[in-house]
Amino acid sequence: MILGSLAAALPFYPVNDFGPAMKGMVIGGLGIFHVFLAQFAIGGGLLLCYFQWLGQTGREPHARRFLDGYFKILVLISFVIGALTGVGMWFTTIQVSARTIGVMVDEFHWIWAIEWTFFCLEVAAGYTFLRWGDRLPDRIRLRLLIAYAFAAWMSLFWINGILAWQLTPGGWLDGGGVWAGFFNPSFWPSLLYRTVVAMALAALAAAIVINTMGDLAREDKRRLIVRAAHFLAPMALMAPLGLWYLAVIPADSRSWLLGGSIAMTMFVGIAAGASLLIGGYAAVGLLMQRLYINGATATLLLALAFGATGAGEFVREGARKPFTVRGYLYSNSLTPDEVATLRRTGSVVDDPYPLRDAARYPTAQLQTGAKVYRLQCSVCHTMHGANALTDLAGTWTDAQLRMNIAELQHTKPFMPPFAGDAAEVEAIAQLIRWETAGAPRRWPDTTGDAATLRQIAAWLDEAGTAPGGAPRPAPAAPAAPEAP
Amino acid sequence: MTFPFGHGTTTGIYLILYVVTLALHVVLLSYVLVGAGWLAVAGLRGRDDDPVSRTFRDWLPFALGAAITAGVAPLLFVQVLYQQRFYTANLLLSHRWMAVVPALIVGFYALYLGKTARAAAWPARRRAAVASLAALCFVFVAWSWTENHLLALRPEVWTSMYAAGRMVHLEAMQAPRLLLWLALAAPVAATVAGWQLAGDAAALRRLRVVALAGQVGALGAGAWLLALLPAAWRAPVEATEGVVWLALVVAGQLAATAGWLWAPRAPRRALALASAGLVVAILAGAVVRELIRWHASSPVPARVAAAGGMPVFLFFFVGNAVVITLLIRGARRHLTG
Ligand code: HEC
Ligand code: HEM
Repeated sequence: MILGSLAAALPFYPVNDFGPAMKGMVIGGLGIFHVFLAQFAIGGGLLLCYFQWLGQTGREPHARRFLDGYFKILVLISFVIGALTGVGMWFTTIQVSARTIGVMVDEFHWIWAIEWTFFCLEVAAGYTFLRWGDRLPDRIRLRLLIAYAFAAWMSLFWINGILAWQLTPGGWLDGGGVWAGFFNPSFWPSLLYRTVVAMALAALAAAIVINTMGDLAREDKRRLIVRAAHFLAPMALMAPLGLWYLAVIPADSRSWLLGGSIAMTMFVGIAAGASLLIGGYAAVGLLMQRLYINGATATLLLALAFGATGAGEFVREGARKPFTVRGYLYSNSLTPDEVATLRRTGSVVDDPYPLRDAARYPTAQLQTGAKVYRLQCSVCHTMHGANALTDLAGTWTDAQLRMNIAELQHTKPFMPPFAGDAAEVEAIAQLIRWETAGAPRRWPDTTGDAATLRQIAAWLDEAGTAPGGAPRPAPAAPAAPEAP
Repeated sequence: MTFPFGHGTTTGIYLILYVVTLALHVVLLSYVLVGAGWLAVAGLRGRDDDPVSRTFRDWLPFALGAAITAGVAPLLFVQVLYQQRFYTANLLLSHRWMAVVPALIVGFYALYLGKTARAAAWPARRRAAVASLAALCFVFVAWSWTENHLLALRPEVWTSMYAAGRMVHLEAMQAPRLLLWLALAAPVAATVAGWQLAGDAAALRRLRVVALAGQVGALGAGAWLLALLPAAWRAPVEATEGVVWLALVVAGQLAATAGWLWAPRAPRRALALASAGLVVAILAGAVVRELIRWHASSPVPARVAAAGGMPVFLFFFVGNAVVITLLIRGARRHLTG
């Protein structure tokens, strides 16, 4: 059997073209949706426990009515869409970076298997409550809800460790193993932060549901809303938790967020601003003055929260650049070790997948350039769409192109070092020129231009293979930390 | 090389967990496939208010949620065991593969809609249309999984498929393979529904027709599939090891068939026999299916097999199973007592 790429040194995967959209946008869109729903489910579970307790201790006569209505919505939306967007996330991550999810599975499959046992508990407890809850005594209802909420929160607990590890692998990089990677430096701040967000989302959704309970008197609704709004109180912790998070992430990531990258800083601003608005409204309107919050306002606040979640996820994804696993795997699915090797061997000679549009290119050099682009750049760039190389570098001179690509990690420190030889740098430089020129039928082939290649090789050496944040020039390739 | 430990202990543990969780997934997806199909046919015939239809309608949304949750575990282990094959097939199928998720969402809401009070007031044909939509979505998903599985086993077509930009992989084995899953789903779903309706003789008679028809279909589709296996895939199945597992499949299927033939006379004992037979047949069948892929693949790399966390998993696996049992038992005691 021809095992094709199964035999190659690098795992080569077939790379799909998403048209004008960057791949990150594909996963980002679904990710935001999924995180929002999942966090709603987690906070919702906790809120339900609270209302069950209010009801069964006689503190709130209408708690139970609200609870049963809210639970149906929770199940209808979060059980199904939450679970399916979760599967969808998995599939999408494979599409965007199979190797990243592969590394995560290799290291953390038992953690994911543990998470799965909690999915099962969540479904069993939730469905038992949905089906028989109205015929069960309070004691059993509370027990089921606690099991449901605990299982939902535990699924956050487990996945949070894996996601946090991507940015701050901590002791795992030094061979500390799964648990060192799991309880990594950003584990606790991000777990607590997400828990606070989950509670806030649940409270805002509750305010909407309570407003739709038509047959309740306004005073009853107001009381229920004020109860639900207690779940907004932990938002006061968001600022310290956010600062804690910022303190533990790598310095360069922190600098992207705090002004180093305009887009990233803007998203931090959006997330913080939206949270501040929600928290401010809650503090002033609800907790202090005990005001009423109507359906429209609640919807608006929830929309703001969605925006904050989206911005937060964007920041989390973006802060890792140029890595998907900090210090271990670059965004383009190459490890630091491999970069050093590919500098000598070239990166695409072993790639078994042909170009889909090979006939488009007038020279073999441009075809090589297209393969290099596909392997090393297409995860963050397009040629003509979002973050297009022709827009970014179309006006540069040949020499500028060659040098900036050869020294990629210093051109912008959120790019990985170039992972090929001088001929490949020249090939992609020519490709960018050719695409910018409108893909003409004829194009010179500069493969034999020894002086140019020597110059590029010198730039490559000068840049070294260390990531851009590191001091330059790096004399030798840094050894990639070996996974335990 | 003896399955599952021929590639080392840890690979063996992954394989066992894969096979067992896949079997659970198969039971639940069978219920979903057949239940939706039953509602579609019953609705078309204008008679979808019998106990069997009511039971399916009532339980299908939950069964789908459970089938999806059960699918997550083999999804994890398949990535540990056959990472590069699985991802490559996903990537080659691309958008076509990603269509699985929206199809499931549509299918779920169709099931849910069919269960609402509003749908109960509709003419049966309209309910049939909704159930057919759901059934179609689930057949599409089943087809996608067989397609992905076959493609993952065919590295020799990967590069040409990529070059051509095709997002569909068709081959002769796909039809009998899908038919086999659909046919096998019938006795499985009938047996689960049989337990739900064990006291209802008329319902059991109708389910018996479905179960036995499925057994005949499974025999035909299974024979067809075996006849199409390429030599390299046939070898592990025809080796002693494969024959033993295949014999277990046959024994299980015979027991299940006997159980259903016997069902009208002693429903509970017959259902117990059918259940036991099907459990054996599904597990052994999953092993036969796996032998082919396992023989074509290398062991899980040592670095991966050394990943920590297994004891903690086993702790929560058992612990959460106990908690789930206690919760459900506790609730049921109050309902019946
Ligand atoms: C980790 C993601 C990532 C990868 C991989 C990546 N880039 Fe970039 N690149 C970026 C980002 C983000 C920018 C900044 C865009 C902006 O400033 O608007 C950028 C900017 C650029 C620029 C413009 C720099 C400037 O100074 O204006 C060039 C040229 C460029 N990239 C080329 C490449 C090439 C060639 C490759 C592949 C060999 C590549 N990039 C791989 C993320 C990436
Ligand atoms: C109604 C929905 C579904 C149906 C009808 C269905 C059907 C099937 C079928 C027929 C197979 C066997 C494929 C073969 O061997 O030819 C299969 C395998 C599998 N399914 Fe599902 N499935 C459904 C949903 C899901 C979901 C949502 C997941 C993921 C969470 C999932 C995970 C798996 C896995 C991992 C396998 C094994 C694949 C392999 O080993 O190649 N399934 N499914």
